[in-house]
Amino acid sequence: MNKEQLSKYLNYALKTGADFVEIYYETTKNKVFRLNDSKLDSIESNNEIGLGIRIVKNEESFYTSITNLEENNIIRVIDNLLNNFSKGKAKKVKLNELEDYRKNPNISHDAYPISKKKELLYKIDKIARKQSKYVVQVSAGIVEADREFVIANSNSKYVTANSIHTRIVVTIYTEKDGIKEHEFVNYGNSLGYEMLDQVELEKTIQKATNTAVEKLSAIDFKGGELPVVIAPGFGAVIFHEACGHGLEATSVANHLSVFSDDLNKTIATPKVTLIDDGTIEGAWGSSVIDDEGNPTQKNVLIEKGILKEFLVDQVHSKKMQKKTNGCGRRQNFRYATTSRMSNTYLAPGTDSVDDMIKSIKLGVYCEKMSGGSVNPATGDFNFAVDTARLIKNGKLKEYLKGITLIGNSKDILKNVEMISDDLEISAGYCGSLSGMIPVTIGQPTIKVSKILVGGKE
Amino acid sequence: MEIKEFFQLASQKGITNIQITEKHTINSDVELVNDKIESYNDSDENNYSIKAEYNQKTVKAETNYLSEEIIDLLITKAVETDSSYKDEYLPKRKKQTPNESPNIFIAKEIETIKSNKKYLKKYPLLKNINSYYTETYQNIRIMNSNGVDISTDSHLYSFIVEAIVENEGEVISFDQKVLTTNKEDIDFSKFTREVIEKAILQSKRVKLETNKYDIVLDSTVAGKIISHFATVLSATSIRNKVSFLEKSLNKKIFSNNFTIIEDPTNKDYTGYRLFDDEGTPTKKKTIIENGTIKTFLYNIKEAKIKKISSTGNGYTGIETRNMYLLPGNKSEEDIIKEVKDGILITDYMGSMGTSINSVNGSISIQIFGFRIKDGKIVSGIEPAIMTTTFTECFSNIKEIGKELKFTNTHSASPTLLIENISIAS
Repeated sequence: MNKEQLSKYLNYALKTGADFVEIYYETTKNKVFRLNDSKLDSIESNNEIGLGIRIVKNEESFYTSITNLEENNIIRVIDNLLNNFSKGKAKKVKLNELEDYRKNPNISHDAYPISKKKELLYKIDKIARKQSKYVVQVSAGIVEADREFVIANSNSKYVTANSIHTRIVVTIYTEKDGIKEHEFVNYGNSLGYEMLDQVELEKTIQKATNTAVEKLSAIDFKGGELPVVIAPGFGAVIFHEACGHGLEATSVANHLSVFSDDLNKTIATPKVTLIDDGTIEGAWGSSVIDDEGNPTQKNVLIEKGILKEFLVDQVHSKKMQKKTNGCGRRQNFRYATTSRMSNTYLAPGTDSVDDMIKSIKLGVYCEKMSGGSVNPATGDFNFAVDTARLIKNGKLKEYLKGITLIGNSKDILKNVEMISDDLEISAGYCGSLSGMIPVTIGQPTIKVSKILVGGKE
Repeated sequence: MEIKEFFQLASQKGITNIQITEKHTINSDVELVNDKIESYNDSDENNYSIKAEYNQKTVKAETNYLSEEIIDLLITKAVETDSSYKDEYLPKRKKQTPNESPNIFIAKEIETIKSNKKYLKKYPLLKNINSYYTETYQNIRIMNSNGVDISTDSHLYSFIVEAIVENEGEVISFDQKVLTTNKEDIDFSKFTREVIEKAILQSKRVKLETNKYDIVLDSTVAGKIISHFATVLSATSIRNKVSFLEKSLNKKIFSNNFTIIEDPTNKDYTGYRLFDDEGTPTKKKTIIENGTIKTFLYNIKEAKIKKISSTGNGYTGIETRNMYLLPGNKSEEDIIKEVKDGILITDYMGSMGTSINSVNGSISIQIFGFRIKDGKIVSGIEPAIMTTTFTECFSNIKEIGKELKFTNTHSASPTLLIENISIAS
C-alpha cells in the first residue's frame, strides 16, 4: 500500500473531524517445523495480509480490520466506523517522508537451509532419547515469524518496520509404571538463525530430560501459606502477572488497576527494582519501534520499591496526560494497539541462593514456572509451577505434583525478602486485549517470605 | 487470485488433489466501561485452510490470500517432510448454500448497555461496570478439485458483564457471560443486575481453612473443565502417548453418572455445525458412557492411521463442537440446598496447559466463588486453590444439574456437586 493510498484513506477518515486516525498495513509469514516420533511430521504455515484502521474521537476508540483490501471495501468500512460519531469539521493531513526501520537478520529464515533445520530437530530428539529409557515422546518445533508493517497516522507519521522472531520449543514426555510426565524447554529471540550461537542445546536438553524423569516420582503435598524460592528466568512470571499488567495504561487510565493511584508511592520492598526494556538487542520482546511507530524505551517501572512509571501507549497518553513510552503493541492487524510489556525483568540483588534455601524449614522451590494470569482490577493473580521441589530443613528434597501459587499483587511485592545476582531471562507469550505477543520475562533467584501454595495430601 | 484460478495453477504445477476450507467471518464487538466506549471493533475477514496432494503426499497451509507463492510453499512441504501421509478428499456431493443473512448491527445494543450506568447510583458498593458485547457471523465453505461446494453458517451473540465492587477497602471483580444463537435470549438489564448482586454478595469474603470440601462447580466452570476432554481424548494425543487416558478405551474410569456426548447437529446449541472443517458430516455421538470411554476423537488423518472413519472432529486440530456432560434432573438451587459445608465455584484462573494438565491428568486452579453453609450461600470466599485430578473429580460426582449453559462453542456442562476435594487457602 503506497503513500498516496494511505493519505487518501486517512483524509477520508478525517472528513468528520476525528481526533486521531491510524492506518496499519501488515504482511506476516509464519512457519513451524514440527518433529514428532523422531520424524519431521509437518511444516505448518500461515501467510496473512491485512489492514487495521483506528479512529479516535472524544477518547473513544473505534477499530476495524479487513482482509479484502479493494478500495471500495476500505471506504465501506471507514464509513461504518464514522457512523459511530456525530459529524464535525473535516481535518486534513499530509504524511511525512517515510521513516524506514526495516533491518535484515544475519541469517534470515529463508537463507537457512531446510536440511539444517531438520538436522537440528533430529539432534534434539536423539539427545533426549539417549538420555533416558523413560522418554516415550519428544515433540520439538522451530518457529519462524516474519512480519513487516506500515503505519500512517493523522499526526503525519509514516513509518515502516519489520520483526523477525525465531524460537525452538521442545517437550520431552516420560512414562514409568503408567505415570506420565513432561518437561518443556524453549529459546526465543528477535533474531534470525544466528540465534543458534547462543543456544547450549545438548546440556539443556539433557537437564530437561533428567527433570522429566525425576518428576515421575513426584509426591503429593498438602498446600498452605509457605515461603518459596523461585528460580531465575521464567520465574519472573510472578512480576509479569502480579505487577506488570497492573501498570499498563489500559487498566490504569480507567482506574481499573489496584496501582492506579500509587505513582511515586512505595508498593514493594526496597529490594525490588522492576524494568521494562523494549530496546534489548535481539531479545524476544524487543523492537526498534512499537506498533504505533514510536521508539521503544527502557522504562524503570519500580525503583527500590517505589512506583515510578506506568506503561503508556499513544491513545491512553491523552487520557492520562502522560507521554507515550513506546509500549503500544499488538499481535497483528486484527487488534488495535494497547499498552503492553516487552522485556520485563527484576534487577539483580546480592543475596545468596544457598542462604535462601537454608533459611527455610518447610517451603517450596519453584524450579520452572509455566504461566499465569491476573485480574488487574483486584490484583488477584495465580501462576502454575511446572516443576517444583520440596524444601525441608534447609535442603532441597523430592519433586512435587501439581503446584499452583496464588496471591494478591499488593501483598506479594512486599513479601520479596531476598534477591540473588543470577539474572536470567526467558521467552514467552503474553495474551491480553491486543492479542498474543512475544514477551521476555526475567529475574534472579528470589525468596518470597509467604505465598499460598496449592496441593493435596 | 480467485479460487478457480488457484485450483488451475495448482494442477498445472503437479498438485493432484486440492481442497479449500474458506471461513468468512464478520464480527462487531464493543467494550464499555460504565457508559463510555473503551473499544469498538469491526472485522470482516476471509481465511483459507488448504489441503493438497503432491507426489502422493498430503500437506496443508493456512493463509488469507491465494497466490502462486502458496502453491510453491505446499510443494516444498511435500518434498521436505518425512511423513508419507496421504489424506482423503470429499467426493462430489450436492451443493449446500448458506442459510442466514450475514448482516450485523450493534448500535441498538450499545445504547441499551450504556443505560446500565444507572446501577452505579442504585448500588453504592459498585465501582465500575465493564460490559463486552459481540456479534459474529461465520460462513464456512468447502470446495475441492472433485467439484465439492458446500457451506454452513451461523450467528453467535455474546454478552459479558464484569462488576467491580469495593467493600470495606477491598476490591473484588465478578463476571458472567451469556452466549447464544438467538439475540432475543439476552436480557441486558436483568443479566447486568444479577451479576452486580452476585458481586456484592461475593465482596463479603471469608478465608477458608485448608481442607477437603464438597464443591459445587457452576455450569460455566464445569463446562470449561469438560472442554479439556477434547485434548485428553484427541487421537493425536493418544497416538503421541501424551494423554493420561492413552490406555483407557472401553475402560470404566469415572463414576456411573458421568456421560459425555457431542452433538454439533443441535441448532439450539452454540457450536452448531453440519460438517467439520474437513467436510466430514457431524453427528450426535456418545464419547464417555456411564464413566466408560467409548471413543477417542478423530480427524481424517488420525482415522486413516487407525483404518477407521473420522468422527467429524477435524478442525484446526482435533476439536469438539457442542460437547456436553449429560444433564441430571436437579436445579442448581436444589443442589446447593444439599450441601452442608462446601463451596460454590463460579470462576477459575490458571495457566494454559499446566493448571489443567492433559498429560498427567492433574488439576490445580485458582478458584473464586461463594461459601455454602447448611444449604445456603452465606458469603464470598477469598481466592483459594483447588487441587485434584480428572479421575478424582469425575469419580466423585454426587449430583448433576438439569440445565446446560454454553459459554463457548466447544463444550458445556450442568452444575455439578463433587465430594471431598482439596482446597488450599
